[in-house]
Amino acid sequence: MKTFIKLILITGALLLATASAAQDTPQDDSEALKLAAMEALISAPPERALPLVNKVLAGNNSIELKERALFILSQIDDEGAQQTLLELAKNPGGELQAEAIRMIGVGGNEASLASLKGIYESGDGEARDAVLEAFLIAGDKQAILDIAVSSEGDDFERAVDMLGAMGASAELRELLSRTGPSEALIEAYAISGDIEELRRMALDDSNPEIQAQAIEAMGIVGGEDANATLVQIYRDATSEEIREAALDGMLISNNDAGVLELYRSSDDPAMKRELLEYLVMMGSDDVWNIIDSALAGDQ
Amino acid sequence: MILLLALTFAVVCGEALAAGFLPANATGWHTWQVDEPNSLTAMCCSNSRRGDGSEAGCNLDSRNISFSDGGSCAATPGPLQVYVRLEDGRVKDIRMLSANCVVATDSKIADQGLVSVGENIGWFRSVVEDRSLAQSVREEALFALASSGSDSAYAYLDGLLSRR
Repeated sequence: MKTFIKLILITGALLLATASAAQDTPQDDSEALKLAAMEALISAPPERALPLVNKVLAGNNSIELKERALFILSQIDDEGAQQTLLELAKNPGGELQAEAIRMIGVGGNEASLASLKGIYESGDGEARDAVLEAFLIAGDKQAILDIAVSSEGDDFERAVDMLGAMGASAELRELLSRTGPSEALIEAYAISGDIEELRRMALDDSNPEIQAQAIEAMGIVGGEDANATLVQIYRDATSEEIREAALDGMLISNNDAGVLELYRSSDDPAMKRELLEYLVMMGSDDVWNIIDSALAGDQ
Repeated sequence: MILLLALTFAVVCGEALAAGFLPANATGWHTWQVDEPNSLTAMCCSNSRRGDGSEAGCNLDSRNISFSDGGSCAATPGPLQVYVRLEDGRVKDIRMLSANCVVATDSKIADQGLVSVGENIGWFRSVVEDRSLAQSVREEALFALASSGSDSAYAYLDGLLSRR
């Protein structure tokens, strides 16, 4: 009986705890109101909003509220507002540094954006990533190209990824002419959808490793043009690596029609077997037609 | 204790004063013009579904409204006209437009006439502080306060942002 009463009491306590957790406490409401009030300052005249934003940034407030204050700051066309953003962006290891950097990108003030290059050079990994994001947000392809040219390793790859995400084909081609081909660049070409440059690299057999990467990357771009090129590369291939890269490209683009075409036109049993394996991997319905034909002795 | 009673009295009176120009338990659309002739707005709206410009009117009941104080949505600058939709005295929607923005609704709009800046700010403050109202409505009230040119509105926002 005592156990039963205990059970009821514990269950009751748990239910009460759950109910109180689900309710909006005054503290939650106060913070929600502060966040909404900060957002509302977007509609206030700059001379009215700026003192309130600065007060929040200087006060003992939540990071979320301060980050929203930074956004409002980014939207205020005022030298003082830009100065505050820059000071926070230059503060190494500061809790608002990365967000302040990103907000400079959101605001798009040219002088502030130009200052980000110096912050990139002296900043840690988080600051450097934030600078790249700021340039991405601002759509400043040239600034990211400049960073890529003077970077190496992971920094180079991050900058190249950004250019790919921005569809910066011209900048990626310029980068290729200055740094030479690399896997990161090829992936960026694929993400930016630069099929022409990928085809050129896919048909260039001077560096088989780069050539194979470019062929596979054509599969990421996909489309009729890329698929037709991949089928042709497979047919013209003089090495197993290139043939396999073409097949992988067709697998990535899910071009089962192309693989089927190659299967039907091939007389080599080993190749036919490999092509059939790819069709199975692609989940092509044509596999059953092929099996039916093979059982009937047609192929 | 006396201080607490005084504060409570001030809050209650403040809210009663703020809501005084609206009938108790009112329902439907109500409007008032803020008595601030030097503060003009071109805010109006268009129905994005039909692509109507402000000339065609702004349907307050539409859920597809785009507000703007520029471009084809804008009205001729005029004093701020506040529209609120109430259900049994509870605020459901707030729209702040230029008095020159032509509006339409499926129902009648009750016009409360001119309301002083202080009363207008007080009403919006009472909406912000009412935790029983939808967050979206309270946020609209905050936007109304932030976009007003009133010192008391900014003093209130300052106080709100400084709360512990």
